[in-house]
Amino acid sequence: MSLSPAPSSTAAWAEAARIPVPFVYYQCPCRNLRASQGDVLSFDSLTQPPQGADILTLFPLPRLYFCQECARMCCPLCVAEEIACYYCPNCLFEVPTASVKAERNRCGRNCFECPVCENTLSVVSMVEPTPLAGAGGAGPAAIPASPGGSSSNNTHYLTCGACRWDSLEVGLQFERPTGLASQLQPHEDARKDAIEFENLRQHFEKFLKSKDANGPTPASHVGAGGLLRGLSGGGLNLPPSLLATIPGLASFASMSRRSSTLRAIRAEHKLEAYSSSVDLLKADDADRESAVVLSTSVTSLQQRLHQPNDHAVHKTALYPQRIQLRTKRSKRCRKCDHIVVKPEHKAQSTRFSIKMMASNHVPSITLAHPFPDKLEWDVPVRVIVRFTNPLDVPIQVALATAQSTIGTATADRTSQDLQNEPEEGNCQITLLAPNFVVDAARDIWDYDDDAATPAATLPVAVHQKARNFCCVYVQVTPKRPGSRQPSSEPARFVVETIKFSMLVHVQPLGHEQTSSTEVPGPEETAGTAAKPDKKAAGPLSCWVVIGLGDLIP
Amino acid sequence: MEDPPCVYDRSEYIETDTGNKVSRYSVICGSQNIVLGGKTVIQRDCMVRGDLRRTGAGHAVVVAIGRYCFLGERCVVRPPCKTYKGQFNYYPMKIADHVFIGEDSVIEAAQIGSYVHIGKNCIIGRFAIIKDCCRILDGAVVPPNAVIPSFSVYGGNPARLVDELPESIQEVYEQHSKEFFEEKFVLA
Ligand SMILES: [Zn+2]
Ligand SMILES: [Zn+2]
Ligand SMILES: [Zn+2]
Ligand SMILES: [Zn+2]
Repeated sequence: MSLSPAPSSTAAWAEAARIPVPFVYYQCPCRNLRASQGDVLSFDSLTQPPQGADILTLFPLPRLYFCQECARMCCPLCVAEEIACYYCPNCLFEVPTASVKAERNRCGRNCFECPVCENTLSVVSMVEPTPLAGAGGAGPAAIPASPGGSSSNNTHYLTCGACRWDSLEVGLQFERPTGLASQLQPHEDARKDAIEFENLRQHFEKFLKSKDANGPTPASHVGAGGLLRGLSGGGLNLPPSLLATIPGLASFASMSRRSSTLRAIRAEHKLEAYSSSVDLLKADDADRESAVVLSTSVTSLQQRLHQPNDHAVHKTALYPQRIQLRTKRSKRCRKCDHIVVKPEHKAQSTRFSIKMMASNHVPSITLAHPFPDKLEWDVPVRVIVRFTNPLDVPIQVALATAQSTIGTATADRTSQDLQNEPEEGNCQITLLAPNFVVDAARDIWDYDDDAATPAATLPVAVHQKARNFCCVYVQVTPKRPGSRQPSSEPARFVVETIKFSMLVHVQPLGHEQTSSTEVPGPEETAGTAAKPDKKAAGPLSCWVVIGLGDLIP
Repeated sequence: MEDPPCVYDRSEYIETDTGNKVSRYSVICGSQNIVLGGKTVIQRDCMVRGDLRRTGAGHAVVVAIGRYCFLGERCVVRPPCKTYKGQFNYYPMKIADHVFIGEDSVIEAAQIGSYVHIGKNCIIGRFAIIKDCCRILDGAVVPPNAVIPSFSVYGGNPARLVDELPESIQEVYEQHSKEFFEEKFVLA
């Protein structure tokens, strides 16, 4: 995107992690919790606006949770996850936790993934009723077989509806169209790499057992017990099974487990030598070389990572994989251990028995229309920021800005500088309405259609006020950061994202205060107090980063 | 960023008793076989093929679309077909509530759940099943017979899992579709 020389690593990373504009992201207070040792979230701890490197603590409101115990927002990074259930994403059957390990986190039914394109494979029969000529262009491979319609001496194979790979390419066929995983089991167990893995596992487990007998293993290294027992053990906080559900991270899952156990083993120095019983990884180099030369027959990295047994180099060795299970997780606040999200156990249910989302407690902030057409240096624009109140009491909102905002880092500064200096902002902010009240949320039919405050009576810089929202103006003037003069560096076409941070302080106004503010009707104070999730909370402050758009010089 | 208001001309849309708004410039075939749940918007140049129905059977619902759904311009909704035991046939399609389908997408799914957001230029293959609370990214190609479980974000060709949606997504999509119909879809 930029023609400038390679930027420092921090800047490059920030660029890679760029949030698409326009956006309104909230900063989770967990960063400040960590910084202030006292673990008390005070107003003072929030005086520092988010810096460039804090991009990972910024989230859109729907991603944030709310812990009522701590009266704070929680982000996906500061909740602890627990697996509530495992299920297959294709057949949607729940897999009991007890059998997940034996099935190696994969579906044990009929679900296979294409080794070429990762699509789900379907089972077809060799002998098909002849398709009608020219009927919809569907070839025989596109017709899923019916278990009832197949004759006894029929054979079946797997085929991919997306890339047309089929299991006959690797000589794989089945006698019955059901229970494919169990039909394949003996074949998979007889693989050389599977045997080697099993031997290694037994070798290390024997050792770990004897070590367990001598003294307990430090639980932080090995999930108390066998080598492969603790799915939630290992070096990472995420369970490896969880990582394994993320494409491309599957290898991390096994890596973390391996490295932590190796550390534990090295500390003991008592491991007897292991001698391989299968000659597996020998005389491969010449073979690989010739394969790379004839590059059409070599697998891609992505494909190789999806072949966990042997990371097949040749396309001819690609083998259909059973589909990896996915999980439903409950989430706890890491600070106080209270549950913020608890899904229903049924695999197909989308309901939650506990769901504490920040959007029910924190006003949602959006950029309303009309939106400025064009951003230019030194040309002030007015943006309309809408605050929508989810609480059943009115809220008093106070806004503040810091002049240093998270701008795009300059390329010529080192990462050292970036950490020490406060970063320069790329726009000047004038809050025209720093204080205002947003009325309480009510059921949709309780709103009076004509209740919008007439424009003439609106406070200064309030664009619109109705129902449970209030739109205020913020004046933004994009300012070229001082170190970057346009004439001195003509060759650089850095796209600047105009963004600024804003401290939002929310003070819920109690019901008794309602009459003193401009909210008229007293009837709703009695009516809508039934929602337990929307309990009137105490004051709350957070930093919000608003990205307006890209300024292309 | 909020969606811009979508201004329309009263003469362009046919409004049904249940509040559906169907553009006169869309192609609706076999409308007696199509059910719209109410407050659903079908924009111009869309094509909904209610005429592609199972041979032999009498009157049947071929395309069922729920409430607060939105079909962007130039979408094609076509019931899935296959040859089963030598017999070529079309099968009904069901789309639940609060389903947003972006421009230029082709839908041949068997079933799309509620609170689903499908981007622009997508192809949802024959007999695909998309469960509740899902998002299909722009330009994704969902292969035939694919099953997409809840809270998934699918993208690419062939589409695969790229992210998970947050737990709040049902409220987000519901609010989005209601807001669009009640406030953003305004008369010129
Ligand atoms: Zn956090
Ligand atoms: Zn399965
Ligand atoms: Zn494939
Ligand atoms: Zn907590």
